[in-house]
Amino acid sequence: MWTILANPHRFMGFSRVAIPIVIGLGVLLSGWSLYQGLWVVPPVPNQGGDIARAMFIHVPSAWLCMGLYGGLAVSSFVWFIWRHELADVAARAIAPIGAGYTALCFATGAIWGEPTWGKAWRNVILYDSRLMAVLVLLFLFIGYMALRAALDTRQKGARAGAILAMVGLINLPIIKFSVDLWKESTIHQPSSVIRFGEAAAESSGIHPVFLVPLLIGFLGQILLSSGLIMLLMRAEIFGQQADALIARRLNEA
Amino acid sequence: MPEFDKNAGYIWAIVMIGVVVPILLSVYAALRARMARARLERLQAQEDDA
Amino acid sequence: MLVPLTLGDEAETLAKIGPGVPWLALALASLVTLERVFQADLQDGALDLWAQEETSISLIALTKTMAHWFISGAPLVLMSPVLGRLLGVPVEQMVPAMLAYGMGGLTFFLWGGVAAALAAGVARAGLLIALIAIPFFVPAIIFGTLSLSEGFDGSAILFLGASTLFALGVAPAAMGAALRLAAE
Repeated sequence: MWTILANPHRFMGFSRVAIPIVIGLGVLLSGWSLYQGLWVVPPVPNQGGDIARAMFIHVPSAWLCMGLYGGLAVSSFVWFIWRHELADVAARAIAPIGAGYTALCFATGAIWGEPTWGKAWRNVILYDSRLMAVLVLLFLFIGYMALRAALDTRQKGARAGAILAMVGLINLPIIKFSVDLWKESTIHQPSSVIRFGEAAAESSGIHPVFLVPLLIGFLGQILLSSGLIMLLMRAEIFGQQADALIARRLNEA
Repeated sequence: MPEFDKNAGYIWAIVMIGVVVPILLSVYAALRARMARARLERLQAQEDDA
Repeated sequence: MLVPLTLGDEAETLAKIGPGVPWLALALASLVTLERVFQADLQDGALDLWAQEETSISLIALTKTMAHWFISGAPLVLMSPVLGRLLGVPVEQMVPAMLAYGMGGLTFFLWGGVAAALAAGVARAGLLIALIAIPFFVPAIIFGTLSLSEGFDGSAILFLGASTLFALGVAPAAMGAALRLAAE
């Protein structure tokens, strides 16, 4: 299995088959989760009624964007230490997808906050430590992409990006901690999956009617984003092969 | 379409964002992959002609 | 993003706004001049010399950052009591406040230095540097702002000190790695 991850050629072969399957499955699972969330699941009276359905979109994206940043940092680290070219390709691919989901998480969180907490939109950002952390994460992603784009050679971009990603990762706990301290009485839903709603009879504290679509939706989004990342990696590898062709030609000329 | 309570506008806004963003990302990824591949094949075709 | 953080959630009275201003000033002071800190060295070829020296390039970067801090940042910290008197801040709060601004400001310059080192060689990198640096400013701003209201009683100033020490440890190493990269 490692050769798929380490060897570009094998990766290309693998991804050609895997991408449609992974994306298809992801869309299916996400679609089912959304259907459950909108049509089947009952409104939660003490969580604002129907607005609680937002969790099926907001919560998976929150988990996902944090996981994607972790993926970015790990790929950067692997590339930095072992110089596996595919690791750098992966890092470059993860960044825009991560940024997209982070923006999604932030926007849906802010919108969800307004009716739930009764605050005007701009105050939502101030009142919730988690949303602030998501915004910081967005800056980290965008900064990473901007830095890589600004440097002229791919090698330089890769190394600078790796440094930034790793520094970002070790800072992330501190940022998270400081932001949680900022609003000790955050009015954000505390550990939503653990304690939720009055139907909390199960040990996990959240009724399966909610939990199952939530987890399925999360899985679906993982699959979808993985497929998209592989797709972007293919784009990157095509680009590198094209550049190599051109370079070879220039050398022969 | 389901009928929601007073917060219907917010809910649909969130759903729209939740659906549109992945679609946009997908389009972006697919386009990049397609264009990169086309460029590579164009260059390879030039090689074969030469 | 910096503005709401520094202003806090109820910025109605001047006394509430006042303490936030030095944070903004410090952050801007670092970001605005940061671009030039390493740019000139890169163009001179001084970076290439450093890369060959036995002296650790991280140490050189740290020295440059401290110099930058003393020139651009420390004066603001020293001036803060004056501002404080004008705004009617009680004297007992001055000492912890200066300490807070001092540590927080130093943290800005350290992380800003990392961003500048990463972006060395990029033309008109000002915005890029700010974009990269801002996430790393956040803990210092938050701990710093909390320190101002808590003074020595609360734990915030300890966290601020800890994060500053952390920055002192990590930032020079990152700057060194980034500068070595830029020198190639």
